[in-house]
Amino acid sequence: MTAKGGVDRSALLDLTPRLKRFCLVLTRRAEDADDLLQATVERLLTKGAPAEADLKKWAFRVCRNIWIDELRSRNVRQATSIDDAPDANPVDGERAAMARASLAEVRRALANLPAEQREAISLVAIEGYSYKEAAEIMNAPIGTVMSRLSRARAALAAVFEDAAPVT
Amino acid sequence: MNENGEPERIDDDALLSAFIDGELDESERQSVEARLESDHSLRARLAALRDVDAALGAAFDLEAMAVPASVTSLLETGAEPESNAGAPTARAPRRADRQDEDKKVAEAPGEVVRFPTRRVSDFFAPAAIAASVALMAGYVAGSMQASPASGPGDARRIAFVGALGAEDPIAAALSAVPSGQTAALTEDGGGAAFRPVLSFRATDGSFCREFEAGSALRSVHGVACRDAGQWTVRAMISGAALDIADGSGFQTASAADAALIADFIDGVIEGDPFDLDDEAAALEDGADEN
Repeated sequence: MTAKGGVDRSALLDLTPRLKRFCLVLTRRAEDADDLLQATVERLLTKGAPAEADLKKWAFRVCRNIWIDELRSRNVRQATSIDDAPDANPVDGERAAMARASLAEVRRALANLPAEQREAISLVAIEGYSYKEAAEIMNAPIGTVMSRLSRARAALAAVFEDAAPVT
Repeated sequence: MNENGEPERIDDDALLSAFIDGELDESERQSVEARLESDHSLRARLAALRDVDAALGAAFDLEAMAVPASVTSLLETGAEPESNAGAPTARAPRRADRQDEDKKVAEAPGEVVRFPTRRVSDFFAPAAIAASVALMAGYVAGSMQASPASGPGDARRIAFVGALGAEDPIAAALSAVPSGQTAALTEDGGGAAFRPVLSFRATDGSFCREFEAGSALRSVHGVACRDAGQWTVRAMISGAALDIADGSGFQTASAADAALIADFIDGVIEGDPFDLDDEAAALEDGADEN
């Protein structure tokens, strides 16, 4: 590990809406997104970032890693706890609550994609990272990012085509 | 639509996708542009993929991203998060139960009480063995007097550490109940419900279990570890009576409480939590020790 320094708070503050958005895509649930955002910011504040790191990338990486840890621990719990069963499919829960607005449809369609596709399309199409940057954040080869991304776009296009009224 | 079959369609999607993102090199880009000139279906496909991006942009409008005050305050005030030297920060709180939006509202940042961070060795210091089992059992049973005027913002979180007597109902439950199952603490437990959450090995080698217990009035969330057959509560947080239990006997753990316990576990866990089989084996080993 390289030496780590404190993070620029105001730069991080500016970044929080973007991080929140990424959290929403990862978690698919507003309450989880806020928890994840908070955990990300706390970890960045206490652990800092490598001096040479680009905060904009580093923060997304940290966020993603915390979420992976979280999923891992939830998997343990879900395997062991029947009480978690009602929450097993957050998308369905969200579905019930969502209005039929088209924006909600879009979010739902995104939520139904596999996690790695959500992540890829979120980083590139929503956040505007280059393939190289997204690959660094996702810790995956560029070719993998590229194929996840194109599969995600194709899957969403198929959903929207089905949903869109024919004009 | 492309009528040339799936394989080409997939290739084209990747190509168009990279085209949209400006990730093609110059010659690739020119080749795509030339094809777009003549290929109507490719143009339609490009438009459909671009529509996806536009839809995502609208559905995830940055302006609409509400950042909670608990987060902005961390960054605006310039205050260091309470320093807990060497301890890992909160991972995303591992919510043990259902949604707890209502409680989250109550968590104004200043009211979040950090669990005092200790090293594992501190928990073996004699001074740590202070909390009596009776006190804890009383808490669980709700027989201790309720904190006065405990409004939503008045959450009192109290940490206990201490050894449990072998006859303590919680010790018995810790030795027997598999994670994820709920047991009723009869007798001394005052009818409280008890549920181990997960089991893990601590860095000092002891077998530890995260647990929750609750009655209609009180809930506790903590970690107990077994050493030579003796259960010791190493961390415990009591949720104040923020609202009525949901009928299961548990108050939903607040996000902050869950985070504090998660912090603690992060600091002492060795490897991954046990799965049910490993846990059952470890529980059996413990039975032999006694």
